[in-house]
Amino acid sequence: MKNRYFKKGISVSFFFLFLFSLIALVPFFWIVVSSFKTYRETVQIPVVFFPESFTYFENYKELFGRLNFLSYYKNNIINTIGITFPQLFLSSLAAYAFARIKFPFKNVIFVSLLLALMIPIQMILMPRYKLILDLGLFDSYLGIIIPSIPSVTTTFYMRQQIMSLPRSLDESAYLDGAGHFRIFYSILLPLCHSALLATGIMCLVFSWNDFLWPLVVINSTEKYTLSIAVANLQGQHLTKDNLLLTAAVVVSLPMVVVFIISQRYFIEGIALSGIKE
Amino acid sequence: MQLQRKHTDWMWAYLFIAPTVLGLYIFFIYPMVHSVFISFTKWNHLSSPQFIGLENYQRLFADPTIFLEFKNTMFFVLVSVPLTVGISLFLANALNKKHLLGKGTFRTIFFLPYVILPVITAQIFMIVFNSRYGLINGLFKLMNLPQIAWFSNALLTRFVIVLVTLWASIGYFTVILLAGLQNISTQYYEACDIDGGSWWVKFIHITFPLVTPQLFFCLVLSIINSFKMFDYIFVFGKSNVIVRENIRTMAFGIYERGFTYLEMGYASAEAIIFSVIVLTITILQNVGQKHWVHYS
Repeated sequence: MKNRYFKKGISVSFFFLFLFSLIALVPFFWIVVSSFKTYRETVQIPVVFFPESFTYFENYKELFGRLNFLSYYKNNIINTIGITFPQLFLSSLAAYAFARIKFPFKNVIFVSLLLALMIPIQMILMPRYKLILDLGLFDSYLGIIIPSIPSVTTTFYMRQQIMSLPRSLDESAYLDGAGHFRIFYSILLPLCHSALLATGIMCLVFSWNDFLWPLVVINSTEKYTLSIAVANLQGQHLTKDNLLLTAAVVVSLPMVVVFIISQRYFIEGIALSGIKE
Repeated sequence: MQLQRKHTDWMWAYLFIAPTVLGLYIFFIYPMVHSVFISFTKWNHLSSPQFIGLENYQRLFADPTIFLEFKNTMFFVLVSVPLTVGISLFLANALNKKHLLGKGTFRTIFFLPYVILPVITAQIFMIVFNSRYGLINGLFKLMNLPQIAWFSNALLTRFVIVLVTLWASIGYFTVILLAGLQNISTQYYEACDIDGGSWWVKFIHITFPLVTPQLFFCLVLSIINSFKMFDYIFVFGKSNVIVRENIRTMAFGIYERGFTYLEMGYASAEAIIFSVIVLTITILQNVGQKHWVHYS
């Protein structure tokens, strides 16, 4: 009796989960299918669900050819890598100091970082833009990259990780004559590899998807990120929707692949961010 | 064993934290202070800023567009936050079964939309909801439902944007809540089973109280995300002016005033008001959490 009740509970859950999965997947289905449609098929009424042939590659050819998407890809990769690796390294370095070393004003400094955590980006948009102009970084990759490197969340998270490692590790290394950087780099950091992966992937997605800040900093077409390029595509030549949907496939694919390959770390990292609170 | 550290330790510490801490001071905290100053000036970013006192703020409180932006912002917060957190909790609860078929697959699928560029997500939805050749109206026609002009009125357009935010963010919050649910010891449920408690009793007296830390985290995050929502509004607004005027939020207004109309001082004043609202709500939440969040 109890068992049957239990099973019913599961099948109701299953039904809803299935329903929501469909909703989650339909847009993906739609962009893939539409990327093979001609313009006429895209705007046809009544709606055609499938293209006449799945070997119509003109949309892809146009994106990578005339619309130069390969170079926007390159820009995105430069920015994303330029942000992610320095952020991981520098945040972990700071995290080590906060977790392991005693120094004056430690708590004051640490708490003052909370302020940076709470500021909505809109509040600092104008002054930061001025700063970037004054530093001569306007319309450059560095203008996107440098302000995005320092991160409160990554620092806090890595500090948490380092604090969870036993202190005896650094103490024995210390007795062997290792300095702080050695203890950090050769002993503790390798032990944090899954945390590094988890935060690294989050950082990757954030910088890959970022829109507002690059929109403010970048001016010349050849330095556009994918987000800006896609948003601009919308304004040009009467918004060809088949091209937009093809761009959606092309631009989303790398992140979808990264996610599917690394989802264990991904989900771990996010789950932890909720638990650590 | 207490180690006798060298007194040069603190120099290493400062060296280690310098890049991150200075970076945060230069690119976050200094601009924050500076924006207060800019908000008292008239500045088009070409000439030098000109001090005008409280004029921007006076203008701001009399500006009907800003009031509209405020209303829209609150609309998105009040509508999408409860829906996001509610649906995520529901899905996490449904996923939190021991022997559920395809549990990992479901979780992956729910999360997938989160990794898509927000700009792209917005465009996909605009095309899917296109009133003439969109997928939704196509499906409606198949089911003999009326054709709806989704972007013809303000409320419907906002509804579509709420759907976009739900689609993109529910997977993320579901993962957080699911992790919280999985942390709850099964002993509680077993004890409740012995007492003959129904699923509802279990949910109200065990699941809900024990998942409140994650729930709180999701609430804070989804409120902030709703306030800051920019990409969707930008893309939807780009399609036409009427849509833009219907959905504009403060986050969008700040950008538009600052970088399209080059009214940096005025935009900063709006940014200050915006931040005061966001910070007040954040603080209120932190004070309020003591009454309903249970930390074990």
